[in-house]
Amino acid sequence: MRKLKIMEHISLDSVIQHSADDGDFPYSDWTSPYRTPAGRDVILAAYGASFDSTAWPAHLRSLVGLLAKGAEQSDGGRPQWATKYVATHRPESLEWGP
Amino acid sequence: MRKVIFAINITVDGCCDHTKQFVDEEKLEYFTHLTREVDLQVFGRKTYQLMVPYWPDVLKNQSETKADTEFARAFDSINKIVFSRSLVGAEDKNTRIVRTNLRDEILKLKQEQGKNILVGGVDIPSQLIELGLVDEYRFVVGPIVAGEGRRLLEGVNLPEKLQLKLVETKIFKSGSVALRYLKQ
Repeated sequence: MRKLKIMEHISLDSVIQHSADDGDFPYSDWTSPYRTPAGRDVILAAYGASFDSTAWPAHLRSLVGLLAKGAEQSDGGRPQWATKYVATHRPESLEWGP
Repeated sequence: MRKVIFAINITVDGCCDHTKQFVDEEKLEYFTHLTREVDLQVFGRKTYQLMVPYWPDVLKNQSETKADTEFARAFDSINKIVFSRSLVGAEDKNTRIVRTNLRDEILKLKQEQGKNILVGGVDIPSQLIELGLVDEYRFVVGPIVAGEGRRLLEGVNLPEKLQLKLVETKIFKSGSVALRYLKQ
């Protein structure tokens, strides 16, 4: 059976919000300093050679942006070809790919 | 100047409620070493009453594990301060009850000669963090997602994001991870 893996930036006081989209959160993009090439390699290694991805729309947009950047730099685009399942009540275009 | 060290067990989702976690021998040994590194421990009443008379009794009875007894010995021998408006007295000979302003008292203690100061519990450390008086953080993250319970720094208004520097990590056999951070 396939496994569900959760990967998340989380602060020591368990904050996972990283953008101000959802209100007046003052520390938008606080995860940026930790999105290093080494961090990206760890994530890619954890994803493995083959995976599908599920996410909320906003999260997926951010994930795809990150992975696309990784694809340009080192990994040959592997994660971009993963099938992504988006949980949403509002059908939107899927211009980001499969 | 003496440093104020805040140490606590938390879960992966930041729950600091002790009833949602476990303490095994390795964790006890970690906290025994930490207790020996300081010469003063500071609490609020609630945490103090969780620790006393429980740990002094463990030392008296000698009926628990070696790790329990060693922690109890370290804990029993250290000087303690309890910040409380309601606690009438303390049986423990090494305990002093303080009713004055937390900030002023801690600033005074930091200036005194001695080893570092360990602060435990949730309410008093939260206030000290808010006041910018904590110099070092020791989080022991257990391999548990509690899903409920009080979270670290819940309700605390930090004047700004707290940037910490990771200086040490230790992985326990249980899957717990001890993280040691310094304030930058």
